[in-house]
Amino acid sequence: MIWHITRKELLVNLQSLRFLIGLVVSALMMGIVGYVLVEDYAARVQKYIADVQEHREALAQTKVYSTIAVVVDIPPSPLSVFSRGSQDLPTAVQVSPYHVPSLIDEAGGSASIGLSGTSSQPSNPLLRMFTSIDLGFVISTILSLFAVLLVFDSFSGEREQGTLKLLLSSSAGRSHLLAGKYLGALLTLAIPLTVGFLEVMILWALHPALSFDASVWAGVGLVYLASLLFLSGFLALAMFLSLYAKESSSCLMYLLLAWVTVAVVIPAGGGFVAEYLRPLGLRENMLSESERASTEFMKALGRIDYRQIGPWNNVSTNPFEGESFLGITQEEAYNRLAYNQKVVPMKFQFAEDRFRVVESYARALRSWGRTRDNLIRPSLCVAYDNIVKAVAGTDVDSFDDVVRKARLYRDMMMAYLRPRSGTPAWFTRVFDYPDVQPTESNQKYWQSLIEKQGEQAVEKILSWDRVSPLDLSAMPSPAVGMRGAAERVEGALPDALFLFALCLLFLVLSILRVRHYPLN
Amino acid sequence: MIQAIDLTKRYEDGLLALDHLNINILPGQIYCLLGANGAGKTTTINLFFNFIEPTSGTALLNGKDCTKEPLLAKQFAAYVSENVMLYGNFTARQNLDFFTKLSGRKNLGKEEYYMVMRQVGLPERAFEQRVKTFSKGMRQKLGIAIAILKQSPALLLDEPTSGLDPKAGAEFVELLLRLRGEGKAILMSTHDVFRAKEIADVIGIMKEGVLIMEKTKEDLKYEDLEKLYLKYMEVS
Repeated sequence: MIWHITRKELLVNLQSLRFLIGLVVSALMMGIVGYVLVEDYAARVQKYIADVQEHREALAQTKVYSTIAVVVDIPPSPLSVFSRGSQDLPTAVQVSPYHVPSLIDEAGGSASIGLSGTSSQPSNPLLRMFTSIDLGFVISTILSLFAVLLVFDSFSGEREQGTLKLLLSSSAGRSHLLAGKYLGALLTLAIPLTVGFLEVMILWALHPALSFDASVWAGVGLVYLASLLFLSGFLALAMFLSLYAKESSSCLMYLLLAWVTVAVVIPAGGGFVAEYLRPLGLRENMLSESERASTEFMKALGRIDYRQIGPWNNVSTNPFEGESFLGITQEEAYNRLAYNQKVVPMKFQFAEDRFRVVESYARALRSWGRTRDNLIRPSLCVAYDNIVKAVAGTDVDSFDDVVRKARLYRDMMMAYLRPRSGTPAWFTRVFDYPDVQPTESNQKYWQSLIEKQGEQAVEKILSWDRVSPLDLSAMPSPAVGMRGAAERVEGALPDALFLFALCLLFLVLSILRVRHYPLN
Repeated sequence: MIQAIDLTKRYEDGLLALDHLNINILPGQIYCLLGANGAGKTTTINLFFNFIEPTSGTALLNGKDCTKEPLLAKQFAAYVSENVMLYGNFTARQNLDFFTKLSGRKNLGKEEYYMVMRQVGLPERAFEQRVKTFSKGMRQKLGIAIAILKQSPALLLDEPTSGLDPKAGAEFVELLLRLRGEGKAILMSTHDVFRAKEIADVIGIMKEGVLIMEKTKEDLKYEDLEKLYLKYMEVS
């Protein structure tokens, strides 16, 4: 019974002009956006490969341990064509002895994850809504609009056309009719959706620089299922609302209003409201805490009695930077070593303290972020966007996961570096290259060189370029990977369940409503 | 087969559309309901198909309560409206196929559809034509074909000959008589006094929701139905 109605609906829809227009528009949009994003992804892959190479070479050129900086490059997600996620998420995480990576970095600014409301994104939330055009966006706007146009006259059209009574005079009940119409519309919508996905897969397959494994195709399958779930939910909502209007024209108006509310107003407006609900002074508190930690650190440095250490005219107190000295005497190097034995542990501690301050701020922002998410989640588009972002690995949680793994890596790296922080190689290589020490004999030699070959000859001797890099083969490698498929699905599950529940709710409400739908 | 017991309908705006209607139509009987617009004829038919719910009373099809067991009751009756509307982009056969399957009949072949369409007098060329090109008469015939294919023992027609040309009207009447001959119980609402007298076994006249007269064909044998109708319309 339901199948006959479904089949009829599908045939009627396929023969309609609106289907043809909807198919062409969505195929064009998904084709164009898919092409642009596949190309963009290919470019980001190239950049990622180049960055990894560059960072690996830079690390291999490290001359002293204190300046070690391991950059963990985050590979672009192939599924980012479906959801680019937060546009301003960093593409790399830096790990160094004096810096503990956090979701929010003062250097990158809390704006980097768009949580603080001080991001570089447009301040108008409506504009922010449209800044990230990806396939998920096309599906959640174009196809949801298509869903509205498909079902706005499901019942009112039959009533106006005069076929509704004939339909209901058969053995079909109202619920059968509703179910058949719903499934028919869903199958109709599945066509442009499938065409769009096929377009993207063909673009991928044909791109000479891209190749994908089974897990990526499984991810595409999950995004496809999520899209079907979203469209099911949107159709259920549209079907439910359509049962409240007797005339097709007024029904179309109501549904367009609902579409604007769900696709634009709630996602943007909810975020806008949440901006005002954001706890005041969080950032200021974080900055003042950070400042206080810096002051404490500087005070502690001030308490060090330099007279016990010996002559030292080149004290660096920047807590974030490594130190490297070449043109110093052995005595100065020993003095510096003694100084480092007191200061370096303090700098390590300061890095940890500063991380705790920033992380506490991040936790508060995450909590506010959850409030914001819950405010806008009733919009099916937002729940769908969350699912696709989680599956694609382009959400903030996925980035946070990388940062967490980078911190774990830093722990291993520090286990390797701590014993070396008490050695001269932490900051200098003068013991390996005695001719750079400003001793009396060396200085005479340099003077004679300047007279014969000019100043450049001495600069060459004192240059780091001639110093051989450290052997870091024993240092752990940063094997920081993206979240696995199971973790991504787990991340998407709450929103998927929410979407499913909404869909079910609207269907149940529709069944209750259709019983009283007026036939005259 | 088609029975109304104290069937009453009062709409939400307070209008009493049907007031304690009692009728009983037996198999092989045609019952014509006459009455002006708003007399309650369509409301009566709507109640049998559960398009609306009665305020009180019972509508029965083959003994099944149309309100309590609508899906079961509807299996025993077919419906033809004043203006049969179908899916314009479907051919006559596709429409027939859809509505027949919806009535629970399956595995009918193309020839069986053609046979019924011939039976109701549709021209052969129309069988595979899109219905949007059909005249009203052709659509009414297709409506009857749908009703025939449902193979239900009862038929409820809401002013089915309204707007038909005389030839189409005559063919329609012929078709109804044939269906009566097959033992179907037929309830037809109409404005057409002459056609009602021609085919009805029982005639009921309704006014403002009340059945004010019910006479058999024998009762009316020596009476002028038109005068009787006009008299009842004027009185009270």
